[in-house]
Amino acid sequence: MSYPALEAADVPDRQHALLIVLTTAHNGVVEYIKLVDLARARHTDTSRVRDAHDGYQYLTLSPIEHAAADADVRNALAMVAQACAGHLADAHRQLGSLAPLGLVRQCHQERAELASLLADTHRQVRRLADVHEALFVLGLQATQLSVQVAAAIELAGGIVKVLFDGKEQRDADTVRPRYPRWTEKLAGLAVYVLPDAFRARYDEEFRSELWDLGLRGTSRFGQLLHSLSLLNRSFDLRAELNHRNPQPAQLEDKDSPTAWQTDRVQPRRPHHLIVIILAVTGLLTGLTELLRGINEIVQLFR
Amino acid sequence: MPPAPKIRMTWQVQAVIQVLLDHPTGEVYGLELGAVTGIRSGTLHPILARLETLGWVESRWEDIDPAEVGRPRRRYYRLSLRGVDLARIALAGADSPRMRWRPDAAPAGGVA
Repeated sequence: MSYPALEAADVPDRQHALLIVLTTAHNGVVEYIKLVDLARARHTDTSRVRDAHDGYQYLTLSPIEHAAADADVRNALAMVAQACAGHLADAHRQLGSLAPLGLVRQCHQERAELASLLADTHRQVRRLADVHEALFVLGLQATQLSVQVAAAIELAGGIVKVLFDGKEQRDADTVRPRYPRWTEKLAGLAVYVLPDAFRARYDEEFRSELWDLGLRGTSRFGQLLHSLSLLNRSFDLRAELNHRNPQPAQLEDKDSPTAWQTDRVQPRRPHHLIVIILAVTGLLTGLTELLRGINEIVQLFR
Repeated sequence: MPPAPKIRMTWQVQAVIQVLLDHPTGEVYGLELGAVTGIRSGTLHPILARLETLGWVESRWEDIDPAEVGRPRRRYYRLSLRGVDLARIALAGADSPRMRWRPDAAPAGGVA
């Protein structure tokens, strides 16, 4: 193998050329080592992020960034390795050419260092490949983790919704007033004696009062007194309403749709039932006064 | 000034009118009115019907959808514009202070 440029030059020039080649190779190796250190630092940062629980979002995004960065690093490493290989080959050739000149001994130490650096470079490249692979696996794990976290969040949202709906239902059950059915029947009797045009209105109004009484926690006895009071004075109300012509709005009330409305209120009833109701009302009036007296006595002893 | 209406101003009637006059919103539903005045519902509704017939009081349904809320609507009562004047006149001309209703003189017995 011959090197005309070196052979044609004087010995000092050849030594100078060799130093230039070695310096160039050394600079390439230094640059490569910097890149390896950078890769190490990135690996350390990634490991810290992996250990952080609330850093999963960063990990979710990092695979993409890592992939791009890794590609750049790989390209840079390939270029450096290629350059290093070129420089080392040139250095090897230069040293070979210098053998006849007796300069091999002088460069033997540099060759050994270059060989060591080359071997170290190969190890670093393999280690960097391991780091890249680990980062790729870590990225996959982070992606799976993010999917699992998203599913867990969705599941938690569903659980919260179920619990919230259940609470709403329990609240509705809690506030739903309960009043005895017979109090509604008694109030219905009070409505029954009213003129047709006003039955629907007072039916709803009386039942809203029973509803509110139940909501306030009024005792059954209190609700009974309320119903009997309505029934007791229903004929007074009837007399008042008979003096009034039904207003259009009140006539409309008869047909107002209500979700709870029963078939208890009918537009027409047989007349003989009125007589029966009158008799029952009289009895209930006496019963009301009796119960009211008992209630007052009970209140006195409390 | 409108002429004084012909109505028997019992203490219950005075109580109802006074509460309707004094209520901040001017609108009261029957059970609430009974709770404040101490008048039982059976007595209260004929009074309200009489005042409504005279045009002193006007009423309206609570503005809710019963099917959606799941309970019957309340019926709200308030004095009409004309009723406010007439009610003040009637209260001023009540028979005697002894007959006038006072909030602290409401009979016991709750709203039933």
